[in-house]
Amino acid sequence: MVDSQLLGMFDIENETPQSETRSVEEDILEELVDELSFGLCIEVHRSCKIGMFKIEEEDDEALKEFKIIDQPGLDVFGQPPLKKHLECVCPSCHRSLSASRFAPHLAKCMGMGRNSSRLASKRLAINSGKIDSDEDDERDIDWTYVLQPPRTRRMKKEKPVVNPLKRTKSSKLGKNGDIPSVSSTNSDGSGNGTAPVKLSSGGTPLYDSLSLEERKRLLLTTCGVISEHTKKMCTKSLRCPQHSEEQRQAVRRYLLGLEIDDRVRLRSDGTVIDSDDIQVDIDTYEDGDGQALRDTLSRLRWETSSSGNPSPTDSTSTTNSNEGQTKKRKKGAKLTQRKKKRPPPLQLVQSSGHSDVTQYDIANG
Amino acid sequence: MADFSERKLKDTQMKASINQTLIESGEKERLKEMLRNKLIECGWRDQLKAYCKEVVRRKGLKHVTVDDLVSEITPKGRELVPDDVKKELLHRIRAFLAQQKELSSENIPY
Amino acid sequence: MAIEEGEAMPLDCAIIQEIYDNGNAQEQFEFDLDQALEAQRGIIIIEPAKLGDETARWITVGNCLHKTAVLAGVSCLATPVLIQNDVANFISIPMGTLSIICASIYGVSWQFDPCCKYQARGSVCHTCRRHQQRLHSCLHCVFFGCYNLGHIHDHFRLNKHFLAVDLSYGAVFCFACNDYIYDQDFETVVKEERLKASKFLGCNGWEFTPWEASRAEVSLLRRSPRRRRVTFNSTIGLRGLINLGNTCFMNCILQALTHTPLLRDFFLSDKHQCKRKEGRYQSKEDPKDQCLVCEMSKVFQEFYSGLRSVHIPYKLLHLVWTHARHLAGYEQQDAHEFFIAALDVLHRHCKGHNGTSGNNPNRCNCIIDQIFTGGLQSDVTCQVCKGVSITVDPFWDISLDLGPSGGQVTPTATHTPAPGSTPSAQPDFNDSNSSGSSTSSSSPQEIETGLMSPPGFEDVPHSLDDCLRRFTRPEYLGSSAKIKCNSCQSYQESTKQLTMKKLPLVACFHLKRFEHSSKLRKKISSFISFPHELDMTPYMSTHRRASGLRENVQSNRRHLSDNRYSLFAVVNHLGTLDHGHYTCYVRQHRDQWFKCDDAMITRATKQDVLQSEGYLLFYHKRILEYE
Repeated sequence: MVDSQLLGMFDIENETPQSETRSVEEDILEELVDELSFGLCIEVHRSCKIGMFKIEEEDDEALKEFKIIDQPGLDVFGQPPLKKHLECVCPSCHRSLSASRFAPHLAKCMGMGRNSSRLASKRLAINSGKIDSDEDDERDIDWTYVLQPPRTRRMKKEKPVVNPLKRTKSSKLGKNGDIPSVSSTNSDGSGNGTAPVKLSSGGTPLYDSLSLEERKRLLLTTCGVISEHTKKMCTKSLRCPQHSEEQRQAVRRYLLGLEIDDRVRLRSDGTVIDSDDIQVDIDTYEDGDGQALRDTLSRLRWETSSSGNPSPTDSTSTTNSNEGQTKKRKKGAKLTQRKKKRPPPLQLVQSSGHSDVTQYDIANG
Repeated sequence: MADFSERKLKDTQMKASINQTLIESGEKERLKEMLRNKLIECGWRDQLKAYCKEVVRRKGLKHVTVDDLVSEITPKGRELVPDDVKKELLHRIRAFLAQQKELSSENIPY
Repeated sequence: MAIEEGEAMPLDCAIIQEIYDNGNAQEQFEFDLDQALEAQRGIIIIEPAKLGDETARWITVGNCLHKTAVLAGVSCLATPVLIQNDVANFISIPMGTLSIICASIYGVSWQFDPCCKYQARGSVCHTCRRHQQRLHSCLHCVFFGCYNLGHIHDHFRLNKHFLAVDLSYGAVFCFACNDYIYDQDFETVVKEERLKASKFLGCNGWEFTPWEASRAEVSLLRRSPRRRRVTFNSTIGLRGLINLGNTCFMNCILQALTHTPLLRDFFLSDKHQCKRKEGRYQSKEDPKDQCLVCEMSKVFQEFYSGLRSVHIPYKLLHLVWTHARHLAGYEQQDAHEFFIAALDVLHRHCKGHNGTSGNNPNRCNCIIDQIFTGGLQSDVTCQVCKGVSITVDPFWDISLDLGPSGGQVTPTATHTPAPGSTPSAQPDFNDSNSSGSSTSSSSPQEIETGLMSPPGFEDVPHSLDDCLRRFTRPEYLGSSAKIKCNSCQSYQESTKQLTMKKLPLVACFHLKRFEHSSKLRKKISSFISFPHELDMTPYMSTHRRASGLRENVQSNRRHLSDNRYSLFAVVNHLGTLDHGHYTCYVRQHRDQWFKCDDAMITRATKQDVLQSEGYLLFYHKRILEYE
């Protein structure tokens, strides 16, 4: 019965003009759309009636609060580009350090990368008290020997002794209008570099009592110009705008003697060399030497970045300088060559090792 | 005139039977599911739901009825369907009808 | 007429067929139908449709006898309702304290459910004989009426039957309240029945149901009244990432991952249950801190928390490096490499959680595999016997060559034309496709085969589609790379063609902009256009197989799966090979785009995105099929 009707209908459909047929389809579509609309109405109505509507509802305040801000120069949150210095705690060694230097630190800390696994394992050994100068060549032994003192000092540092030191430093830096959370940075960076600062902050120009080694370390990272009034050393970075290059050179000459000339030369180099080269220099350095020196180095690096660096590593520029893995590798290769040439001086003149460091830090500052 | 009304009657009958076929074959539900997916995909659902919420806010949570919603949402719902979705659905409905026509002309044992 | 009840069918379904051969057909049919009803079959199919329709009408018209028999057996709860009907004085009953209504609906739902079900398919409005216009079924007696034309209302006025169920969604209308009412038990029944129905109709046995908070979720939501929602013009979901010292490669990938809709849904719905917390850790570290998936989960929380400050992803970097030591620490600078490594670690950490088949990479159902894994089919065709050997390998990304095909063979020929200065002679890829012997080299082995492209033939891709066409076209493996043919049992020259056997939900395209051959290292900065919407159908195995029957495929496509993709993230490399920086564009809330440059998140236009160079392109499948 229905089928015969149906058949008849389709016959009609055959006869009807195209427009008629289309309207059938449109009717069907409309009906479907309406049905879906109805479903939605039921759904919303249901949520009203069973009390879910309120729950799902977001408040208008939140909407306003999180509104995107469209202003040139600001990000979507209405903030200017990041100037602040942020810190994080290394999950590997639990030291606090500048976030912007975290990746390079971590690579070393975890003993990853091209050359560092050997170093890392060595450091582990040192930390656990088993010093083995084992498989390394003479040069390494030499360096381990030379750098024994810093290592012991560092071990002491883990004791509460550090605390007053931290405070002093942080307050000092606070005055310089810098990073609020420096104290934590310091706790890890409290190598040889910090000790003098503490002393000098005592009021008397205690830098006299520093060993040559310590003075050098200090001057690698800080401006160091001695104030005429307070007799204190400037703890700002090497590019501290308050003091001139001449002043810095003078103070170095005064504190370190003739070696300075060498350093000054290197420093002027350093300003030219980009951070990439420096990066690699560290590698080079590490390649041929002991763990302790490397430690010092990295500590010095943190020191630099945390201690009143006027331009904390601008993320973009840093990134730019180190982009492209291949480049990195290439550089590495180049450096290995350099390294091979260098060892003799390193071995002979202690300070030349530090000139490397200087170079690095200056460029980084 | 009589011809016209007869024609019109036949037309509605035809529509009814087409509808019947759609329902009985399950094609209607399939079409609905397909349309639902398309409309979710193109944001129709979200838009319409936001509109629903507006209506609820306007009428008051306690007093709003489905009829209120339906009367406001249905025209809005039709209006918001994107053209390409319409096109695709119409194409599919047409295909189904053509297929049915073939089937009915072949299979009826008369 | 003989009627069969289909034994072969699942128990829930009965088929009654009519065969025109018996004078007693009608009686026999009725008897069988009765039996089926009594057996409470979920679905009764009556064939042919004509009889089915007749039966449906016959039921609806009110041959209650059969029904009452069934219904009486179903529930004794029916009685109070029926009594009420007889007395017909419920108008005086106070307008439904909800409890009474619920109780009666509960009874009603049990009472009428099988009945409604059987009738629904062939039902029409008893007044206007139509089945459109929001058909409702009276819950007191056998009556169908449409809502839009007020026929169900008429029925109420006439008979005071105040409850009716909507037949498309199963919502119950109460004329006493003059609105729809919702009852939990009734809804449970509706849900079950709808699921059965959609299974029966072949809608993948699944139907869209809007999200609804569970009881636990409701209490949770009540306790914390603040809401975060990704809406138009909202910063929720956006967060700057600090550069940890040349880690823009990681930041980009992190931005892309946190804006992957499916991944976001997974993490924000707290789907990751970490098994690592339960003991099987080796290190002294807190085991929770060892799982990258947990860390990802935290990152998602950070991103969608509404905080504006820069996030420091140092833990994530640490975890990735801890678990993917091959990245060689700080040396690692490539965003693509990091992406793959991160996926790998995530995938491995998910495995513990699923605990299934860690050996077979194809069989993993962790979230990473569900979202990112596709299957790449490689057809190696023997040029002698035309026999094809097929292998399918899983993939997470598709690396696409940008240089001139075959150009890598001779370093002198690898001269990438600068953007804009490309030769006008553009090769027709479709032609080279059909010729089958056109050349392309994408991997080092192939380069060594001495494969050469015709002199002067410079087919540099200009668009993502070009790249994909090249990727999926047959390539001649050369005379020096003979492969053992299984049917010939000898080494023969052959062609190889790659196609997509299974598309991933998120497709990552890697444009090989960094070229490192033995003699040459350079970055290819040529502009490759990529679409906002991408249809992957032409690169599917099924499509390529049927390339001879192109027409056919076109017409079938509509019924095949939908393979359209939308762009949602683009990672860009700025600068040269030696000095560069990664930035990322991400899409959020439909078509809003944002540029993520480490800590700086700014708004971008779609145009900005499509005009950018593009290094990694992330596409999301538009339609997800239920599995």
